[in-house]
Amino acid sequence: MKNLTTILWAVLAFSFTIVSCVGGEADDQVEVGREVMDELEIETAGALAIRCNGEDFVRSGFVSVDGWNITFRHLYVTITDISVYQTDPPYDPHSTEEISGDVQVDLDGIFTMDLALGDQQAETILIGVMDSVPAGHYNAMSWNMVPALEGPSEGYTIYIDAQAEKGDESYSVYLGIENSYTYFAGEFVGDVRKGFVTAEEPGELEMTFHFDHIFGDFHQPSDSDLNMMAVGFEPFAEMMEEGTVSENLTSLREKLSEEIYFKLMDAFSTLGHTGEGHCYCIVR
Amino acid sequence: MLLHCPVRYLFTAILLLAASPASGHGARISWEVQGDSIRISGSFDDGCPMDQAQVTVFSGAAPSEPYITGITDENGKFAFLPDVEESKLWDVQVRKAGHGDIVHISLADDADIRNNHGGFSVLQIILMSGCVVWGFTGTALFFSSKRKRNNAHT
Repeated sequence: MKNLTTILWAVLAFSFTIVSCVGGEADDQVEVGREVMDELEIETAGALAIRCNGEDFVRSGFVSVDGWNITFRHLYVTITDISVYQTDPPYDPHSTEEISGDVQVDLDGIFTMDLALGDQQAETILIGVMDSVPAGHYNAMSWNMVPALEGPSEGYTIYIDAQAEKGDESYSVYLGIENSYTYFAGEFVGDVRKGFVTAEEPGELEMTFHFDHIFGDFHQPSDSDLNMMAVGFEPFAEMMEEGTVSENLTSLREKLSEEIYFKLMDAFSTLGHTGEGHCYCIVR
Repeated sequence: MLLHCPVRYLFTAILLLAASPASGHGARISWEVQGDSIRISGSFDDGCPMDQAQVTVFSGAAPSEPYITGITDENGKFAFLPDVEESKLWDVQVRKAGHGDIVHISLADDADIRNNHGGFSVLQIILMSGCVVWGFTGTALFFSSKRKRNNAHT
């Protein structure tokens, strides 16, 4: 009987060893699979273009929620520290966290772009092309907006040069925003799905700026979500001096009511999108 | 719009309610799995439903091409039947009046559990089952022989 017990324990130990070994083999296969995938991605690098878009609101003008017809001569934004990511699970901008991607590629440089260039048929504005990025789906992007170091918008992150008209009133408008913003975007939301890069097909991503968030949209219901967050143009018109409104954040802080000023600051933090997909924003 | 689903068992065993907040100042999209279908619900931040909004569904098998497109009903709702044999990953985009968002739906966890038997291979399961059966048999034989031996002593 003692021999039988010994044999039983030996068989159980042997079986346990075999089960453990089989499990270890499976883990090794996963690791090998990852290495193969990494090599494939490097071999199948492609190009990714980064574009920006102020939408037709900026290119063709629009009517603010309070009835001001606004047309833009120039609308400068200065963008830097552009990074694109492949994230799994997909980055959720509502998480209010920064992006942590499996793949991250940076586009170096500081770019001051005039979003008012072009008409309704104009293409979105090309910021730059990253010629060789790992293939895959770039489903997240981040960028900083900082004050321009030179040029017509020097000292300002966002600089608006526009004309505002209502009835027989017409004002030249110059608004400079000094704050810096960091935007964290998830996947592009729009007519087509963007961000796919293969060796054969270059990809494209777009940062989109929704200036209707600042002034509102006359053609949307006044109690719509968009118009409720917008300040319209009337608060700026009240600052008019000799047919001109020329302000920056410092003067706006002094002249606007606290409620309108902070409403405006909130609206600026929601400017950045990717298509219609919204961003998590940190104001610096 | 409902599509035929060849694999019904994936969803029928459970009612997985996975409401997933997915937006900020514009659109809010939630989804839930009900039976075989995935039901989408879109609303604006002010709570109004995204009625007659554009819906585009993407399969993980071909993520750059729309799998189906459609329009939400007057309550901002839309339903479709995913082909889970084609993919366990589904992305759904809902857009209206410049507001939109995309939700990423993963059915992989359920599928993995069902298809891979909790992560053990068939060989492992056979060996483990053998060990358990052998263990019970051996224990029974041990006590059985001990009883016989005690009886023999008395």
